Amino acid sequence: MADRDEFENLIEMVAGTAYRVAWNLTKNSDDAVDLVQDATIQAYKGFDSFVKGTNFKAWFLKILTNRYLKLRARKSAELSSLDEVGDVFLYQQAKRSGLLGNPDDPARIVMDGLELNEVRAALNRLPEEFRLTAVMYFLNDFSYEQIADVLEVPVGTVRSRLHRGRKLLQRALWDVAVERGIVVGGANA
Amino acid sequence: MPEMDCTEAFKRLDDFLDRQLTSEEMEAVKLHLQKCQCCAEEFQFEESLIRSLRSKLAHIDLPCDLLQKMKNALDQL
Repeated sequence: MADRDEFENLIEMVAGTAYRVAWNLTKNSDDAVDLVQDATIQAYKGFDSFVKGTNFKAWFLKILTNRYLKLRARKSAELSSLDEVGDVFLYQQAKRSGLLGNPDDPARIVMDGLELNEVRAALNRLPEEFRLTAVMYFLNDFSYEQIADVLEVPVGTVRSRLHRGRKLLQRALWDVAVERGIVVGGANA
Repeated sequence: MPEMDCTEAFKRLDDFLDRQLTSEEMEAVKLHLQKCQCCAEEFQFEESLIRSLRSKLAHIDLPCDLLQKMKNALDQL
């Protein structure tokens, strides 16, 4: 069996990131803990295949993501109404709303007004493939190559999913900000 | 590399923010942003948005017994 002490030392370093990723994938704390525990077991079982000196966090998150994909109940995509979104959507909307004349950082005005749960709600509106990529992107300092490795897709796919995912997320964030009265809406994509 | 216009710079927005461009392209975009206030404003907005999103999503409280639960899971084996 693999060296448990060595394995426990490594999981101590990735526990926080693993939980945050799991929390954003599963959408609640209990399921996130279950997923992290499940990934821990799977990672330990496969620890002999981990190449020492390589990125343990990426290796662990790859296992966690695969377990999530395997265990989750399949849901239909939620974002049909957001299919067509222009580039730099949030910027354009902020411009139309007069936010850009504000001496403060307009992106922060929008973001500071949103609670964490509202940001997560916007993230959760993305179709699964974009959401997974966005979670890896926003919660880690991973390069496109590392995200591609974790999700087991080509780098070009990461790039295109991030590009599209960012646009969709901006649209979803703006909708939430309008609903909350943080900004005055009305303009469309 | 020839001087970049707004369209060419905008095409590279995501890759610029994620440092996925070659050093030559990075410099060309930076040069354009120094000259074009409109593009600079857009790029700054996008950069700030990504930073704010990362900061917001990082603020998730961990369960105090998370690590113990991970270790306990190993005891099931």
